[in-house]
Parts: sequence; C-alpha cells; structure tokens
Amino acid sequence: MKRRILLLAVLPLPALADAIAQIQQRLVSAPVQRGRFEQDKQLAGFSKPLKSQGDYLLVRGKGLIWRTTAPFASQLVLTRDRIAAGNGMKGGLQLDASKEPGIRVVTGLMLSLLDGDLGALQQAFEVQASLVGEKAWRAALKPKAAALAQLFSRIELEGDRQLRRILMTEAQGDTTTLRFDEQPREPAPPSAEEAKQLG
Amino acid sequence: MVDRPHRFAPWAWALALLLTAAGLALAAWSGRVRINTDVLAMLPKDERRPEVEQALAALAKAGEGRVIVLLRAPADSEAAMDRFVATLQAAAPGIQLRHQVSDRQQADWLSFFAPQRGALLTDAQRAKLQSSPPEALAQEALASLMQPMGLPRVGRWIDDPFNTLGQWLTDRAQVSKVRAINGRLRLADAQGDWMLGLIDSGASAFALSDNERIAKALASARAAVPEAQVLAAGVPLHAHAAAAQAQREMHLIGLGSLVGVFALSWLAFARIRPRLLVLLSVGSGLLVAVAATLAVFGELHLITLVFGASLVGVAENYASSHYSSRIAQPPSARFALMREQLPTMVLALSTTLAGYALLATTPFPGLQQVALFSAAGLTAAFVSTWLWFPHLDAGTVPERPLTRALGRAWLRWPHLGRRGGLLMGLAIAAVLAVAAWRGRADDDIRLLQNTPPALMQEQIDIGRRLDLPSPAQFYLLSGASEAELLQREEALKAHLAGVKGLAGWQAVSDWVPSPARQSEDAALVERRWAEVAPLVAGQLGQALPARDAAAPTVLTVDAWRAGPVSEAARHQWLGRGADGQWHSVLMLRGVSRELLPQLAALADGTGVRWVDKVADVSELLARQRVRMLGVLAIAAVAVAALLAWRLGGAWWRALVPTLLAGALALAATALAGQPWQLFHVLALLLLLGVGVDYGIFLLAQPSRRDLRGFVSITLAAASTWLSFGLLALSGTPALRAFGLTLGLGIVLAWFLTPFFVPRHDSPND
Repeated sequence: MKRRILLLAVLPLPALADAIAQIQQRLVSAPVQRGRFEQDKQLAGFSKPLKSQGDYLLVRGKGLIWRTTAPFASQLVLTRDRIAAGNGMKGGLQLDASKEPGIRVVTGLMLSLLDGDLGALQQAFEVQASLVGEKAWRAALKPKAAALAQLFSRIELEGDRQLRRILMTEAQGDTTTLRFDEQPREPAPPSAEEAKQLG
Repeated sequence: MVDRPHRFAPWAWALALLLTAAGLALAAWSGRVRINTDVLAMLPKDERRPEVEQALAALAKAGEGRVIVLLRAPADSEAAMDRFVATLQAAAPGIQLRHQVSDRQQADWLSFFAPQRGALLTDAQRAKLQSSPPEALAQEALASLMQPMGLPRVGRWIDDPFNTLGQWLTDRAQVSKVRAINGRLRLADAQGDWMLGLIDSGASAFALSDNERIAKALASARAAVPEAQVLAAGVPLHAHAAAAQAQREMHLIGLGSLVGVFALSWLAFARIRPRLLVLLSVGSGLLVAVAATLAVFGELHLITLVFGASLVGVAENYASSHYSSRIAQPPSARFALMREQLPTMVLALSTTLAGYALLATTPFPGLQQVALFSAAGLTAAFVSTWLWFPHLDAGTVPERPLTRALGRAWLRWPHLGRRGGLLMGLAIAAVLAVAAWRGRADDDIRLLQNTPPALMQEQIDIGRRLDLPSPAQFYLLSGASEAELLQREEALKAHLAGVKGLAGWQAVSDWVPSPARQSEDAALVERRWAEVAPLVAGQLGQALPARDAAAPTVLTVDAWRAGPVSEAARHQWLGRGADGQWHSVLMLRGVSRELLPQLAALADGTGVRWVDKVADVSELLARQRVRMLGVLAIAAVAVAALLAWRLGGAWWRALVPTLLAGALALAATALAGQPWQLFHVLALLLLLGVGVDYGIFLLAQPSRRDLRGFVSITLAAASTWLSFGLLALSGTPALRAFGLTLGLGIVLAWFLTPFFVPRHDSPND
C-alpha cells in the first residue's frame, strides 16, 4: 500500500497517461496478428530453463490461438469466454465463462497483454510506462488486487511497433520470458479451421 | 334462593381466573409466550421416521433467519449495492449482511484443500487417469507446466503435475454460480450481472420482532435504490408475511365478532349490562383458552389465534341463552331459571365439546391446539355465565322488537308433515346427487400455504438464478459409520449421473470423498505419475525437482465441517442419530415432476430413503380426510346415542337437521366448483357439535308460544355464523374452507331445525 502511494506521488498522472498514449501510437496495432514466439521458463527446482517455441494468432475481438510446436505439440485456444487446451479439440481441458465466470479475468488479461493494450491493463495493474529512443517503449505492471498478486508479482513488456518481449515474474520467483519474432506486415487471415476454433 | 355451595363458587371462580391472568401476565413479561408462524408446524410429525423429521428440522434450521438479496442496477450495480447495504444497516444495526469476500477468505478457501492435493479427483479425471496412455498424460503434464495460462493451480507444479486439485476445485466451484469478483459476491446470468448479499439475523424464524425489523429494513433499503431491481427471499420474510396476515385477520375476525355480538345483544336485550356481561363471559373464555394452550403446548400457533378469534362468537352462546330465558320473566326467578336451564346448557356444551374432542383426535398438532383452545375457552365462558350472571344482573329483560319478531317467526314456522318431509327429502336428495356427481377431492399442500404472490415469485426467481437445490425432495442416507455413509452417497451419485434431466446434486461426499475413495485416488495418481515422470524428464532433458515428501492426508468430515469451505452444505451432515446410525442428506437440483418416480425408485428404504415432503403432506391430508370421514360417522352415532339417552324418542329431531345441513354445505362446496378437502370434513365435525344444540334447546322448550328457546338459538346461530363467516375471509385457504363450510352449515342447521320440532300447542292457538 505504501509503495503504491509512493509510486503515485513520484509519477505525476498526466505524464503517465501521456506515455501510455504515445506507446499506443507507436504500436501498429493490426486487428489480425500472427507471429512466432520463444518461451523460456526459469522454475525453482529445475536446473535448466524450460524452452519451448511455437506460433500464435491473435484476432482482436475474437481471441488467441497459441500453438506450441517444440519440444512437443500442444495448443491453447483462448477467447474472452472460453479456454480450451489440448491437442486439437478432443478430450482436453475446457473452461467456459457461462460455468466459470471467473475465467474472464484471466482471458481478458492474456488477450490485453498480447495486444499490448496498456489502457485495458491499467484496470488491473499499476502501470509504469516509459518511451525508449525514437521507436521503442517499455512498461512495468504491478497487480492491484491481492488475488492477482498471488499469481504474478510483476510483468514487464517491451516493444516498438509490435510487442517484442514479455517477462512475467511469478509470486514464488519463477519467471517466464516470451520473445516475439518480427510479425509479417500483412498476416494471412484466419483459416476456416482457425476461425472455427475462435468461434 | 342461593344454594349454599353457590355462595362460594362465584368467588372461587373469580379467584381462579385472577390467578390465571396473573400467571399469563408473568409468562408474557418473562418472554415465555412463543408464537409459531410456520404453517407446516401444524402438520403431524412423522413418528415412524424420526430421522426424516430430524433431517427436515436440520434443513429448516439452516434457512432460519437468512435472507438472500440479489441486486442489479442499470448503470452502477456496485454503487447501488453499497447504498442498499448502508441503508439496511442504518435501519437495522444488529443485522449481519455479507456481500464482500476478502482476499484472505478466498485464499483460505483454496489453501484449505492444499494438503489433499493428489487425493481429490473429479470423475472425469479419474476416468482419464485410469484409461489414458502414459504418453498422453505426460504431454498434458508438460503442457500445464509450459503453457502461459491454464487452470488455477495450488502450490508447485511438481507436487501436483496433473493439477488434480486445480481441476477438482474448478469442478467444485461450478456447483455455485456465485463468484467473488473484485472482492464482491456476484452472480452472472443471462440478464446481466447481479450483486449478491446474505442477511443473517442469527435469530429464530419465529422471533417475530426480528423478522419485522428485517422486513422493514429491507423495504427502506429497496427505497434507497429506486433505479435497481432487487430480489429478496428467505424464511424471515415468509414468516413476517404470515404473521402480518394473521394479525390482520385476528383483528378483523375478533373485532367483527365482538361488534356483531354487541349489536345482537343490544337488539335483543337493550340494556347495557347484558352486553358488559357477555363481554365478561367471552373474556374469561379467551383468558382460560390462551392459558390452557400455553400450559399444554408451550406455544401458540398463529392459526390457533386466528381460529381462536372466532371463539368469541361461540362462547357468547351461553350468555345469550341465559338472557333469552329471562325474557319477560320476573328478576327474582333468575336463579331458578338458571337451575332449570342447566341440564340443557350442559347437554349443549357436551355435544360441542365432543366436536372439539374429535378435532383433537386428529394427529395434527395445530388442530389439537385449536381444539384445546376452543374447548377450554367454551367451558370457561359457560362457567362464568352459570356462576356469575344471576348474581351480577338482577334487572328485567323485556321483550324487544327483535325478540318479538323472532317470536312471531317461531310461531308460524311450519312443522314438516309426512308429505312436506317427503318433498323436502326429495329436493335435498336431488341436490346431493348432483353434488356427488360433480364433486372431487384435492389434497394439495398449497391449501395450507398462503404466501403473497410477489414474495413467492421472488423466491422462485432467486432459487432459479442461484440454482438452489430443492428443499422439498431429497434423499436421506444412513450408514453404520462415516465411511459407509460417504460410500453410500457415492454409490447413489453414480446412479443419479444416469438420470436424464436432473441438473445436479449437492452432497457432503462432493467435498469429502469416502476414505476408501481418497486413498484409491491418491494411489492412482501416484501409480500413474511413477509411469509418466520418466517420460516428462526425458522430454525436458533434465531431472525433475524433488517432490514434497508428505503424502496427502485423509480429509475428514469433521475437519471439513470446521472449515469455512463447508458453509453451503454443512447442514446436510446430520451426524450420529439416536439409533447409532450416521445420517446425511443428499439434495437435488433441477427436479421436475416427471423425474419424481424415477428418483424415488433409486431409494432402497433403509440405507437410502427418498423424502418427498410435498407428496407426503398431500398424502397425509388425503389419508386424514378419509379417516376423519370415518370419525365423523362414528361421532354421529355417538351423538345420536347421547341424544337418545337424554331426549328419548325425539332424538332424531335434533340430529337430522344438522346432518342435512352438513351434507348440503358439502354439496354447496362441490356445486361452487371447489374441491373437497380435509378442512371441509373438520368443519363438519364441529358443525355436528354446534348444530345439534339448536335441536336440544328447541326441544327443551317446544311450545310455539314461548319465544325464549328460539330467540336463544337464533342469537347463538347468528353470532357463531358471524365468527365463522368472518373466518371465510381469511387468506389461508384451509381456514377459508373451514369458515365457509361451518358458516353455511350453521345457517342451514338453524333454518332446518324448527321444521323438525313438532307443534305441541293446538293448531287453533
């Protein structure tokens, strides 16, 4: 609590709003985004980081398809009202907001993070944002609610015209780093299969 | 002219009444006068199945003093809820209202089950762990390790790599649609986002003043959020509505009867003193009635009070009978007249008491109370009339226009000859035949209940939105041990899973699986992980971290009951009964009428019993209706014997008019399209006791020139009719049926009786 007050005192609000607005201008925020990611997880008890990679498709207003290709294939489909995991659609985990309204908090957070939507993230996080050089920017998020703070102690975002890196630090100290490759300027629209999964 | 014992008796009676009044005042002052508003408390306890009663009591207790509030505003529901809560708490400071959940409470909730991770499995998970190949399980475990997002997880991945606890908790959470979001209790449904509040008065549902406080505070809180839609439901609101209604009816019936009795005695006897004495007689009757009921039952049921208000009209009979006998007689004859009248009055009292005694033979505690209340009250009113009236009023009772008019009517009232009797008999037989053809019986439980429709609608609405289990139908399970009981629940749930159309269930074993299942599941998880762990390590290319050495502990019912997580279902665990068996209740959601036979068939009668309160009550009402018809027949024979002993060959002249009146009253019900039910039959029992009085009085003074007997029964019938006629205005269908039948029966009995009294005087007079 004390730290939050300190943060607010040090950082004048208009400046913050200004930084966020400028970041949003620097981001070329396309309605359909495709890209490749690399993930490094640093977990307590594991001697080596856990590396994985894959690709993703983010359709604004629809959802996210997160495909891991190595070291094994798996898929996570995430819309605002649903989380479906597993290989394809059979037998995997399914969570629906009609049964579990709480998942909207999680899906909303994930979709906003990958879209770099700092405005939306401000509702759940204290956002500290700054511009770097001519094109780049970075932001640090601290959860406001204790429930969220039990999951993440801190999330950092870096990017320029697109999101380049997310660093999530979990409450127990485990970290997850996501790095994103250059996105194609004109991504292919969702295939019929992808559209169905996001339906 | 006063007999020796009579000199002391009036004083002794006065002293007895004073002591009773003092005792009653003391009891009221020390708060020992309890008023019961629960309609179902009128129903008999199920003596054959004490565990069922215990289960019903436990379920009822869980709902006592609790009100659920749902609120939704078009713009800002949170602000509206805050305003609602602030107003409510300002209006009723003691009331507890929960609408927020702290992060701490939420964390406690999750961490409660942490020691059990790996021992609690959902059905789907168990099936998957039993049948999936190790490769698939390995991939899933890896995915849950690698994926940036998934199910909530309690603790480290390595301690629960299949995330069994996360899935189990998610499954448990889906039982309720209520969620804590941003620290507030919320409910999302198709219509939008509702704010939820739970009011806990902590009081018994029968603490009438508490209920009133809650109802009033709710009303002002509703007024504070005019823009919002507010739904509220709970036992205190029902109890308050019932109490308010009963109070209204009590005032209406009591006051109406009193005014009627005053008006009648004014018209018949003119002077002020008879009216005051009638009041004294009725008052002493009510005093003794309340005292006797409290002494025997320890509480007064609201229905007793409403019913008791009609006592005013019956207790008045003895006073008006005494005054009628004194019409145009010298005041000095009053003691002799009383002595002369005593046998008739005692006979009339005993037939009425016999009617109430029959009511008391029903196993309904409510009716037993009504019977005792009325019998005690009547007897006291009679004693007051007998001992006090000749002493307290030495005045004359002149003839009045009303009494003279009654005298003329009596003089001209025809006596039915053979031919007239035959015609009347044929006409009545025709009416009865049509009624018998049209009539039908209905024993629905709703006859007993009279909840305001708006309240009922909100109750249904909230039940539907929160998907609350049905309180009326459930399974009662028994077992020789906790473990056996939980296993029975699990076996039953396996059957219920196959019932199509059932939305779900709520059982203790949902939260606390049987010890056998817990250890089986823990062993299953361990066995599969031993297979899967090398595959996962291979995929990751490194050794897995060390696991928590502690094996999951066995979750016990006691530990669960002691924790905050058990709040919603705690009351379903009944514990160990007097029979040494353990009992629990399994409740159902989404029960429809069509499913009932199928659900009932899953019970085995011993370990698993099916309880359907709605059907039980209806069946009970039907059984009692048939039984009471039998009692009525026996009673008619008994009254016939009593009359034959006292009146000799003329016995039938007192009985037949009442029997006809009863049959016609029943016929009228059928012809009006109303179904017959238990309460019509009960009204006939009482009619039998009251109606033959008219015959007894008229046959005691059969001379058409003596108007006193006829004036007496007319006044009695009028005031009795007034009281029960007012009962017909009651909002409770059962009381209404009772009042209508009795009111109509009394009018008919009064009208028919003179036809059966032969003319003793010569026709030329």
